[in-house]
Amino acid sequence: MEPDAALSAQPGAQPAFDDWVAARGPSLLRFAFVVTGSQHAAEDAVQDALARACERWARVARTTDPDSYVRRMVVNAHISRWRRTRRESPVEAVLAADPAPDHADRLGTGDAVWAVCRDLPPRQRAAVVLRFYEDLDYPEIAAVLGCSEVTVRSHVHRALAALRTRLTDLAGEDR
Amino acid sequence: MTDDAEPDLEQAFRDGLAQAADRAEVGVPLAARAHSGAAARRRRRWAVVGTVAATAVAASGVAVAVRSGDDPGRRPGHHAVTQPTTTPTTPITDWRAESWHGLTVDVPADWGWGTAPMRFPDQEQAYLCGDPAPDAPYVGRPIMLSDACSYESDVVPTAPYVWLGADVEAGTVDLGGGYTQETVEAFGSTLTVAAQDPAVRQHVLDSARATADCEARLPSRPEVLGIPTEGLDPVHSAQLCAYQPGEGGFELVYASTLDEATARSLYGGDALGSKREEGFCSSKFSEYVLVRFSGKDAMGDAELTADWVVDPGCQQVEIGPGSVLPLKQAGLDALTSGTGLPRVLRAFIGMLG
Repeated sequence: MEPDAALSAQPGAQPAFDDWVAARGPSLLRFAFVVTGSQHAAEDAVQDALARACERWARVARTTDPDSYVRRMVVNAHISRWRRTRRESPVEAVLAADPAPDHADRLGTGDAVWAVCRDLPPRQRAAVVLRFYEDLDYPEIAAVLGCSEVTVRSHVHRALAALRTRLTDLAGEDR
Repeated sequence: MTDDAEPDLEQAFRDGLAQAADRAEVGVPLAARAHSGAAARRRRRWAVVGTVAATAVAASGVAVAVRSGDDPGRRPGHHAVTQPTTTPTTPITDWRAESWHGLTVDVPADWGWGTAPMRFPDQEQAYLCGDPAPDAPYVGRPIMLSDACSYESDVVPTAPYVWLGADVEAGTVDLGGGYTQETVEAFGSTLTVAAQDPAVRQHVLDSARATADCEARLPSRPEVLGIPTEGLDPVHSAQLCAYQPGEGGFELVYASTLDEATARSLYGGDALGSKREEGFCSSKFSEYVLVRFSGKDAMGDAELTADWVVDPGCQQVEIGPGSVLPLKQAGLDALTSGTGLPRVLRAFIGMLG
């Protein structure tokens, strides 16, 4: 039985913590990876969030959307950790690891996206990830990040502008 | 300013992030790590039970609610970390006063301190900046304990709480799990109580009164206007009144009374350095604690008071007009031991990083 199927086997029932983690953990790690920019930071953020969720699972499981609740915890765990250490975790150049020439265009854009994300402060990067990876709308992102909708729009707008500039530069180099 | 006008760029972001996400290593034993992490968090909480100074708690980075001891003879004396508490099965007999601006209420003496919902200028909803659902009972104020803020709308509390001055509409809300939250306006602030036990809620609400032991509002920072020539001996107690900048002056954010032993430790112990300063260092926090000692005239029988003004951000104390001395660690410990100051003033919260 697939993990998701295990969760839906008993409609209305609250999933056990371990079952929920087995089903949602991979997705959570992927999300954390793009939020934090590195495997190490992603695992730290997810572990922080899940340790807290584990302690209060009875309440978390009763929320209308435990996935969103834990994702918010991941974002907050990462931002809090960054605030404490006041240093940026390096974003791994993951896409550069696959230099196959037939994927050059895709990798070029992917590299550009990742490079833009690398240069964004954690809260701005989280806004971009929540918008374009999680497909949240602006009010939802504002609620997750604890800032105004205007601020979220500004974060996303700046990221788009940065990507446009980077892609334009890439096109210039190709010519 | 809209992203809707740039669908190609948006799609590039979606594709690029999806590609990056696929590179994440997901074969990680998350559940086992989470259980281990939760156990470590519990151990860390219990490890600081006892006489850990507030600054040590702050430096450890362990964000926990602290409370004063239950023994009235020692209160406020030592920090202890609150353990998860369920609905009280016996009536609460020991209460302490908590003040915020012009409002003072009684709360159970062993509750800790925390945050309360606050609204930022450009936002429609209020946020909790700190642990959104502490496991232990607490009294919260609209103060940022962390820059990680969250909006909680559907989470059932695991412990009762009192919020002073929270940005919450007056009214009664069923929070689930047997918890009812009731908010009233009183003495210029909001008072919110959430508890399973209706007797606790009613006791707190009924205790609302005007702040009396401290000035609720000052036009400028507190100052020492005079000192007894010969000093106090012995000192009986000390009243703390903590102020932060507010509308049109300084607002009372915390008040407490030190017991005799702690007051003596602060007044007569090794609390102050000897090197006189030109004045306060102009801490960025602009927070001040007026300490009013009560005791006997050292050269007579008259009951007198002596004031200090402490700038915790600078760790300096004004003991007389224009006379400023450094506050030593022993003095800082006496000032914060068993009080809520470390969970209210930014000078201490800042140490949490």
